[in-house]
Amino acid sequence: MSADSFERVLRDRLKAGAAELDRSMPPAPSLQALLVSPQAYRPAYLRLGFGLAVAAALAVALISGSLLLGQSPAVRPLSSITPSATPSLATPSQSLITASPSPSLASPSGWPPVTAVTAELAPPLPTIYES
Amino acid sequence: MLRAIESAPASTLESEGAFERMYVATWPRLCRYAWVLVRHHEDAEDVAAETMRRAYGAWQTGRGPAGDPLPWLFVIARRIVIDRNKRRVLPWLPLSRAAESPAAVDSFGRLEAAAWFDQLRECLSPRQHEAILLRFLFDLGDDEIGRIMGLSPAGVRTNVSRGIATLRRRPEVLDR
Repeated sequence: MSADSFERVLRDRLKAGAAELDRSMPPAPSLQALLVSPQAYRPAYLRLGFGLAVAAALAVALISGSLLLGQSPAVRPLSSITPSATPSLATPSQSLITASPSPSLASPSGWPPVTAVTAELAPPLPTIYES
Repeated sequence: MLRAIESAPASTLESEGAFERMYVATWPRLCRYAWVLVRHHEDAEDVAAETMRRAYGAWQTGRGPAGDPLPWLFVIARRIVIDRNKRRVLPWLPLSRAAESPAAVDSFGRLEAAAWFDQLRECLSPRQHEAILLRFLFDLGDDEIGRIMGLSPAGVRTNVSRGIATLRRRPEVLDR
Protein backbone atom coordinates (compact mmCIF):
# COMPACT_ATOMS: atom_id res chain seq x y z
CA MET A 1 0.00 0.00 0.00
CA SER A 2 1.44 3.36 -1.02
CA ALA A 3 1.84 6.18 1.46
CA ASP A 4 -1.00 8.18 -0.08
CA SER A 5 -3.44 5.32 -0.11
CA PHE A 6 -2.51 4.38 3.46
CA GLU A 7 -3.19 7.93 4.60
CA ARG A 8 -6.46 7.92 2.71
CA VAL A 9 -7.50 4.67 4.38
CA LEU A 10 -6.51 6.07 7.75
CA ARG A 11 -8.46 9.26 7.15
CA ASP A 12 -11.56 7.36 6.05
CA ARG A 13 -11.34 5.03 9.01
CA LEU A 14 -10.95 7.91 11.45
CA LYS A 15 -13.87 9.82 9.99
CA ALA A 16 -16.09 6.75 9.99
CA GLY A 17 -15.29 6.09 13.64
CA ALA A 18 -15.87 9.69 14.59
CA ALA A 19 -19.16 9.77 12.71
CA GLU A 20 -20.26 6.70 14.65
CA LEU A 21 -19.38 8.45 17.88
CA ASP A 22 -21.12 11.66 16.82
CA ARG A 23 -24.42 9.90 16.12
CA SER A 24 -25.25 9.75 19.81
CA MET A 25 -23.93 13.21 20.52
CA PRO A 26 -26.74 15.50 21.64
CA PRO A 27 -27.35 18.56 19.51
CA ALA A 28 -25.65 21.77 20.48
CA PRO A 29 -27.51 23.57 23.27
CA SER A 30 -28.58 27.10 22.58
CA LEU A 31 -25.81 29.58 23.14
CA GLN A 32 -27.77 31.57 25.70
CA ALA A 33 -28.52 28.45 27.72
CA LEU A 34 -24.86 27.52 27.56
CA LEU A 35 -23.70 30.92 28.75
CA VAL A 36 -26.10 31.13 31.70
CA SER A 37 -25.89 27.49 32.76
CA PRO A 38 -25.05 26.80 36.40
CA GLN A 39 -21.64 25.59 35.36
CA ALA A 40 -20.76 29.06 34.20
CA TYR A 41 -18.05 30.82 36.04
CA ARG A 42 -19.09 31.90 39.46
CA PRO A 43 -17.57 35.10 40.71
CA ALA A 44 -14.75 34.55 43.15
CA TYR A 45 -16.47 36.54 45.86
CA LEU A 46 -19.46 34.20 45.68
CA ARG A 47 -17.27 31.21 46.35
CA LEU A 48 -15.48 33.09 49.13
CA GLY A 49 -18.81 34.03 50.72
CA PHE A 50 -20.01 30.46 50.57
CA GLY A 51 -16.80 29.24 52.20
CA LEU A 52 -17.08 31.82 54.96
CA ALA A 53 -20.70 30.88 55.64
CA VAL A 54 -19.78 27.20 55.94
CA ALA A 55 -16.88 28.03 58.25
CA ALA A 56 -19.14 30.18 60.47
CA ALA A 57 -21.75 27.43 60.69
CA LEU A 58 -19.08 24.91 61.68
CA ALA A 59 -17.72 27.26 64.35
CA VAL A 60 -21.20 27.79 65.82
CA ALA A 61 -21.81 24.04 65.88
CA LEU A 62 -18.50 23.43 67.63
CA ILE A 63 -19.11 26.12 70.25
CA SER A 64 -22.65 24.97 71.02
CA GLY A 65 -21.45 21.38 71.22
CA SER A 66 -18.75 22.24 73.72
CA LEU A 67 -21.27 24.21 75.84
CA LEU A 68 -23.60 21.24 75.93
CA LEU A 69 -20.77 19.01 77.03
CA GLY A 70 -19.99 21.41 79.87
CA GLN A 71 -23.52 21.08 81.25
CA SER A 72 -23.51 17.29 81.43
CA PRO A 73 -22.72 15.57 84.77
CA ALA A 74 -19.10 15.10 85.49
CA VAL A 75 -17.70 11.81 84.46
CA ARG A 76 -16.23 9.95 87.43
CA PRO A 77 -13.15 7.90 86.92
CA LEU A 78 -13.61 4.18 87.21
CA SER A 79 -11.19 3.90 90.11
CA SER A 80 -13.42 6.07 92.30
CA ILE A 81 -16.42 3.76 91.96
CA THR A 82 -16.71 1.24 94.83
CA PRO A 83 -18.67 -1.93 94.36
CA SER A 84 -22.03 -2.04 96.11
CA ALA A 85 -22.23 -4.07 99.31
CA THR A 86 -25.67 -5.37 98.42
CA PRO A 87 -25.55 -8.76 96.79
CA SER A 88 -27.26 -9.25 93.51
CA LEU A 89 -30.94 -10.09 93.41
CA ALA A 90 -30.29 -13.58 92.27
CA THR A 91 -29.43 -15.43 95.43
CA PRO A 92 -26.87 -18.12 95.27
CA SER A 93 -29.53 -20.73 96.08
CA GLN A 94 -31.36 -19.87 92.88
CA SER A 95 -28.29 -20.24 90.85
CA LEU A 96 -28.17 -23.21 88.60
CA ILE A 97 -24.45 -23.21 88.63
CA THR A 98 -23.38 -26.13 90.67
CA ALA A 99 -19.91 -26.88 89.61
CA SER A 100 -16.83 -24.74 89.71
CA PRO A 101 -18.33 -21.65 91.25
CA SER A 102 -16.68 -18.44 90.32
CA PRO A 103 -14.58 -16.88 93.03
CA SER A 104 -17.06 -14.04 93.42
CA LEU A 105 -19.73 -16.42 94.69
CA ALA A 106 -17.59 -17.76 97.48
CA SER A 107 -16.19 -14.48 98.60
CA PRO A 108 -18.98 -12.73 100.59
CA SER A 109 -18.88 -13.68 104.21
CA GLY A 110 -22.03 -14.96 105.86
CA TRP A 111 -23.29 -16.76 102.82
CA PRO A 112 -23.76 -20.49 102.90
CA PRO A 113 -20.95 -22.36 101.30
CA VAL A 114 -21.46 -23.36 97.76
CA THR A 115 -21.28 -27.03 98.55
CA ALA A 116 -24.22 -26.71 100.94
CA VAL A 117 -26.27 -24.93 98.30
CA THR A 118 -25.63 -27.60 95.73
CA ALA A 119 -26.58 -30.25 98.26
CA GLU A 120 -29.98 -28.64 98.60
CA LEU A 121 -30.57 -28.58 94.87
CA ALA A 122 -29.17 -31.90 93.80
CA PRO A 123 -29.87 -35.33 95.31
CA PRO A 124 -26.94 -36.94 97.03
CA LEU A 125 -24.74 -38.90 94.77
CA PRO A 126 -24.72 -42.63 95.28
CA THR A 127 -21.73 -43.90 97.04
CA ILE A 128 -19.48 -45.89 94.87
CA TYR A 129 -17.50 -48.55 96.55
CA GLU A 130 -14.38 -49.85 95.09
CA SER A 131 -14.20 -53.56 94.93
CA MET B 1 -25.13 38.57 30.66
CA LEU B 2 -28.28 38.16 28.61
CA ARG B 3 -29.46 41.58 29.70
CA ALA B 4 -26.16 42.94 28.50
CA ILE B 5 -26.75 41.27 25.15
CA GLU B 6 -30.25 42.71 24.88
CA SER B 7 -29.14 46.25 25.68
CA ALA B 8 -26.00 46.14 23.57
CA PRO B 9 -25.44 48.44 20.60
CA ALA B 10 -25.85 47.20 17.03
CA SER B 11 -22.17 46.46 16.50
CA THR B 12 -22.12 44.30 19.60
CA LEU B 13 -25.25 42.48 18.48
CA GLU B 14 -23.59 41.84 15.16
CA SER B 15 -20.64 40.44 17.03
CA GLU B 16 -23.00 38.28 19.07
CA GLY B 17 -24.53 36.95 15.90
CA ALA B 18 -21.12 36.16 14.48
CA PHE B 19 -20.17 34.33 17.64
CA GLU B 20 -23.38 32.33 17.58
CA ARG B 21 -22.80 31.33 13.98
CA MET B 22 -19.28 30.30 14.86
CA TYR B 23 -20.62 28.37 17.84
CA VAL B 24 -23.13 26.41 15.79
CA ALA B 25 -20.56 25.64 13.11
CA THR B 26 -17.81 24.47 15.43
CA TRP B 27 -19.67 22.78 18.28
CA PRO B 28 -19.67 19.20 16.88
CA ARG B 29 -15.99 19.27 16.04
CA LEU B 30 -15.17 20.87 19.36
CA CYS B 31 -17.06 18.12 21.19
CA ARG B 32 -15.25 15.52 19.11
CA TYR B 33 -11.85 16.99 19.92
CA ALA B 34 -12.75 17.21 23.61
CA TRP B 35 -13.75 13.55 23.50
CA VAL B 36 -10.37 12.71 21.98
CA LEU B 37 -8.74 14.47 24.91
CA VAL B 38 -10.82 13.16 27.81
CA ARG B 39 -12.35 9.92 26.40
CA HIS B 40 -15.61 10.47 28.19
CA HIS B 41 -18.78 11.79 26.64
CA GLU B 42 -20.14 13.93 29.45
CA ASP B 43 -16.74 15.29 30.36
CA ALA B 44 -16.19 16.14 26.72
CA GLU B 45 -19.41 18.13 26.65
CA ASP B 46 -18.39 19.94 29.83
CA VAL B 47 -15.04 20.82 28.33
CA ALA B 48 -16.67 22.02 25.12
CA ALA B 49 -19.15 24.16 27.03
CA GLU B 50 -16.45 25.71 29.16
CA THR B 51 -14.39 26.33 26.06
CA MET B 52 -17.28 28.21 24.51
CA ARG B 53 -17.77 30.30 27.63
CA ARG B 54 -14.12 31.29 27.69
CA ALA B 55 -14.18 31.94 23.99
CA TYR B 56 -17.23 34.13 24.44
CA GLY B 57 -15.46 36.15 27.11
CA ALA B 58 -12.43 36.59 24.89
CA TRP B 59 -14.63 37.42 21.91
CA GLN B 60 -16.42 40.12 23.91
CA THR B 61 -13.16 41.79 24.84
CA GLY B 62 -11.85 41.77 21.28
CA ARG B 63 -9.48 38.84 21.75
CA GLY B 64 -11.14 36.63 19.19
CA PRO B 65 -9.42 34.43 16.61
CA ALA B 66 -7.43 36.02 13.84
CA GLY B 67 -8.39 33.41 11.25
CA ASP B 68 -10.09 30.06 11.46
CA PRO B 69 -11.74 29.83 14.89
CA LEU B 70 -11.41 26.05 15.19
CA PRO B 71 -7.70 25.94 16.13
CA TRP B 72 -8.29 28.81 18.54
CA LEU B 73 -11.09 26.85 20.23
CA PHE B 74 -8.95 23.72 20.30
CA VAL B 75 -6.18 25.62 22.08
CA ILE B 76 -8.65 26.78 24.73
CA ALA B 77 -10.09 23.28 25.14
CA ARG B 78 -6.64 21.76 25.46
CA ARG B 79 -5.70 24.23 28.19
CA ILE B 80 -8.90 23.48 30.07
CA VAL B 81 -8.18 19.75 30.00
CA ILE B 82 -4.60 20.28 31.15
CA ASP B 83 -5.79 22.53 33.99
CA ARG B 84 -8.41 20.03 35.08
CA ASN B 85 -5.95 17.16 35.03
CA LYS B 86 -3.62 19.16 37.23
CA ARG B 87 -6.35 20.02 39.70
CA ARG B 88 -7.99 16.64 39.95
CA VAL B 89 -6.70 14.01 42.34
CA LEU B 90 -7.88 11.34 39.95
CA PRO B 91 -7.25 12.36 36.36
CA TRP B 92 -9.58 11.44 33.58
CA LEU B 93 -9.08 7.85 32.67
CA PRO B 94 -9.11 6.52 29.15
CA LEU B 95 -12.06 4.45 28.13
CA SER B 96 -10.13 1.21 28.45
CA ARG B 97 -9.78 1.74 32.19
CA ALA B 98 -12.94 3.60 33.10
CA ALA B 99 -16.05 2.45 31.36
CA GLU B 100 -18.67 4.99 30.52
CA SER B 101 -22.09 4.68 32.03
CA PRO B 102 -24.48 2.34 30.22
CA ALA B 103 -26.70 5.28 29.32
CA ALA B 104 -23.81 6.98 27.60
CA VAL B 105 -22.75 3.91 25.65
CA ASP B 106 -25.98 3.30 23.84
CA SER B 107 -25.06 1.45 20.69
CA PHE B 108 -22.78 -1.35 19.73
CA GLY B 109 -21.38 0.64 16.83
CA ARG B 110 -20.42 3.48 19.06
CA LEU B 111 -18.82 1.14 21.57
CA GLU B 112 -16.87 -0.50 18.80
CA ALA B 113 -15.74 2.86 17.47
CA ALA B 114 -14.60 3.92 20.93
CA ALA B 115 -12.68 0.66 21.30
CA TRP B 116 -11.04 1.24 17.94
CA PHE B 117 -9.95 4.73 18.98
CA ASP B 118 -8.54 3.21 22.14
CA GLN B 119 -6.56 0.68 20.16
CA LEU B 120 -5.22 3.45 17.97
CA ARG B 121 -4.20 5.38 21.03
CA GLU B 122 -2.38 2.39 22.49
CA CYS B 123 -0.33 1.98 19.32
CA LEU B 124 0.95 5.54 19.32
CA SER B 125 2.59 7.95 21.67
CA PRO B 126 0.25 10.66 22.99
CA ARG B 127 1.80 13.30 20.73
CA GLN B 128 1.70 11.10 17.66
CA HIS B 129 -1.87 10.19 18.41
CA GLU B 130 -2.99 13.79 18.81
CA ALA B 131 -1.06 14.98 15.76
CA ILE B 132 -2.53 12.24 13.59
CA LEU B 133 -6.06 12.95 14.73
CA LEU B 134 -5.68 16.67 14.18
CA ARG B 135 -4.26 16.06 10.74
CA PHE B 136 -6.52 13.31 9.41
CA LEU B 137 -9.70 13.71 11.41
CA PHE B 138 -9.88 17.49 11.66
CA ASP B 139 -7.96 18.24 8.45
CA LEU B 140 -5.75 20.86 10.06
CA GLY B 141 -2.42 22.00 8.67
CA ASP B 142 0.99 21.76 10.27
CA ASP B 143 0.94 25.36 11.48
CA GLU B 144 -2.44 25.02 13.11
CA ILE B 145 -1.57 21.69 14.72
CA GLY B 146 1.67 23.17 15.95
CA ARG B 147 -0.17 26.10 17.50
CA ILE B 148 -2.58 23.75 19.27
CA MET B 149 0.05 21.32 20.52
CA GLY B 150 2.81 23.82 21.17
CA LEU B 151 5.09 22.30 18.54
CA SER B 152 6.90 23.65 15.53
CA PRO B 153 5.55 22.64 12.11
CA ALA B 154 8.59 20.41 11.69
CA GLY B 155 7.81 18.77 15.01
CA VAL B 156 4.27 18.16 13.87
CA ARG B 157 5.47 16.55 10.64
CA THR B 158 7.86 14.35 12.60
CA ASN B 159 5.13 13.15 14.94
CA VAL B 160 2.72 12.50 12.10
CA SER B 161 5.24 10.59 10.00
CA ARG B 162 6.42 8.50 12.95
CA GLY B 163 2.85 7.74 13.90
CA ILE B 164 2.05 6.65 10.37
CA ALA B 165 5.16 4.49 10.27
CA THR B 166 4.03 2.82 13.47
CA LEU B 167 0.57 2.20 12.07
CA ARG B 168 1.98 0.79 8.85
CA ARG B 169 3.78 -1.81 10.90
CA ARG B 170 0.44 -2.76 12.45
CA PRO B 171 -2.05 -2.85 9.58
CA GLU B 172 -4.48 -4.93 11.64
CA VAL B 173 -5.42 -1.75 13.50
CA LEU B 174 -6.95 -0.29 10.37
CA ASP B 175 -8.56 -3.56 9.35
CA ARG B 176 -10.75 -3.77 12.44
